Amino acid sequence: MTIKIAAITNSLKKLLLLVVVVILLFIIGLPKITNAKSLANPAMLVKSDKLITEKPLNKIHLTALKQHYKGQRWLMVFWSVDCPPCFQELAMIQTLSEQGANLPIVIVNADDSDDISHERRNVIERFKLSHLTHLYFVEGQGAKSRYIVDPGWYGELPRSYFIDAAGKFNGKSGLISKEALNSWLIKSK
Amino acid sequence: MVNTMKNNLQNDTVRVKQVCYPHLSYVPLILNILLCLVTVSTSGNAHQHSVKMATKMSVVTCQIADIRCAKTVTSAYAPNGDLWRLWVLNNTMWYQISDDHGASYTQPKAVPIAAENISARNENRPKIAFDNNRGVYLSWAMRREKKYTADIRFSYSEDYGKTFTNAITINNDNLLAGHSFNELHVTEQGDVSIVWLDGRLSHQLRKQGKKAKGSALYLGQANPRKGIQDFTNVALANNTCVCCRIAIDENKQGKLAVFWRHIYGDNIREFALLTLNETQQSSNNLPVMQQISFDHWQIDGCPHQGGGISIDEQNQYHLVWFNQGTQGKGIFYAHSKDQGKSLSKPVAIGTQIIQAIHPNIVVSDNKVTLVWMAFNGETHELWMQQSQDGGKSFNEATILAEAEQGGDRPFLIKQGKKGKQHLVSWLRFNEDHWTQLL
Repeated sequence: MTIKIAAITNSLKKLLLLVVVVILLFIIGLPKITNAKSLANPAMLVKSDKLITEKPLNKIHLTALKQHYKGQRWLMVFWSVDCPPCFQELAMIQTLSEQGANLPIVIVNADDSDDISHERRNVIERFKLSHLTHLYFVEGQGAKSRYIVDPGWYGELPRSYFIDAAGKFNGKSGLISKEALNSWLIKSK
Repeated sequence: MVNTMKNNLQNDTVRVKQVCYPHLSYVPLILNILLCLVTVSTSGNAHQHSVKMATKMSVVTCQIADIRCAKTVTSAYAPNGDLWRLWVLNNTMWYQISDDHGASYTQPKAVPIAAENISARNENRPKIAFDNNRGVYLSWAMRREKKYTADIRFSYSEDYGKTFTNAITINNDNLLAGHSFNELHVTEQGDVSIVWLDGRLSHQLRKQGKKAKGSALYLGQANPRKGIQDFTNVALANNTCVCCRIAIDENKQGKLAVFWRHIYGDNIREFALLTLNETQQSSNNLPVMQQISFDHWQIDGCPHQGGGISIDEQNQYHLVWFNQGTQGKGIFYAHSKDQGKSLSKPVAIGTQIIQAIHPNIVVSDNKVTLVWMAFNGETHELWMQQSQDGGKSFNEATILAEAEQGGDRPFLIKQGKKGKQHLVSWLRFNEDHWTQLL
């Protein structure tokens, strides 16, 4: 009798474990599917000037951004928490952003470290840039992420890409001037 | 002063980071933990199973003192031939000792000093050096409460690592300012030199509403075992790049040579060199410095790429650096017979198209070894090139190792001043600490 009860309890435990796993897999799969749908159609991403919020920079997201901005000028700015001039550039974007909405700017954190994810979010909030599209390099994927954007970029920061209507990436290392920023973004509108 | 705090963290197996399914970043933490528990509950040995799965998924479940989870490693030879390695996890420094050049190590031991916010990422890392009387010296940067502020810290052991002194701050300005990128040198007699990038001058200028250009190069010297406890704080140069590590070596006259990235003119980031010499001061009472690179890299930003220096038996300085200037792009090697006043024609090293970066150098007799990292779009590579004729010619560059998830900057060390063998040290993230004698 005791053995039978033990066997039933054991089976129930296994069943419960299976149910938990199935539920978890369903929950895990759901956002993935939702995400895939939204990425398949870049137009679906566009609600305001924010296309993607806090996602890894990868080929899929970069392609979606390229498709979305096809035929217009836009700007990609790469920054790091270890780079004082990057903060000057973020401050300039903040000022510009407060003057007008829907700026075609994509901000990418290039630290590729889980350790700074909290700091990264704080910086975005401090400069009031949460409404813009921002991505980040996944831990251990820094070089790969850089390579996806530009194999000729060696990690120096800040790094800005002025992308023209034909989709050509023109990279510039170091702090960009207010004038260059204004001129590029205003003309693009 | 000696802190005899027992090293009770040595065998601690508390997990500092549970990463079972990190790619599922959108899964709430609690569900992730449940998944981990399910995985572990079906395994006879949780640790072994985790590691096995980690291999498949290229993720390491970090235990305290697991070097694979560190962001940097610092290797150095003690005078008795022991190879030490030092790394940081959870605001604690850990060390291990190898008597077979890194083939095997002792159990990890925590440096028994109070935990603090130690900078150990990219260009920043703790440093370790030795005297000739069982002395072990440590220096590091401790991040402070405000962004881009830190202090240079120091502690030492008189008993080969059993006990360490309480940590002290080396910079004496009491300012919440930048002090970072420390380099450490210790003589056989225990004369300690620490060189760092110091933000006190720029901090004061900004407070006065003036513009500041870069940081300053500072030197602190003391000999605590001889009772000289207070470190000097002497400015060596002003207007240095703020985010590239410094490189130092001792020349044949026992003088310290310092190699760093300087800011010339309108943000032209070139490498500069000075040798400490009391008799040769420039007009501003700073040591005479020599401009080494002329690559014209104009950038108001952070290259995050320091250089390398190693001095040979003939007092010839061997230098390596990285630039992306209009006159020179990539890694360059050159040597100087007169402390940088004149220089051999810089030789391009590595292949630009595969992102050759972060070079390092070591020299003994006529053997010059260079290492650097590269990335071919898929794999991170550790490259090496050697010269057997004092840098006049180099053999073909070869790949020494590969890493799936990238790695720390590679470094070259040798055993003592006259060590013939060169050892390369490369921490491969989530894989291992790779070393090899060259």
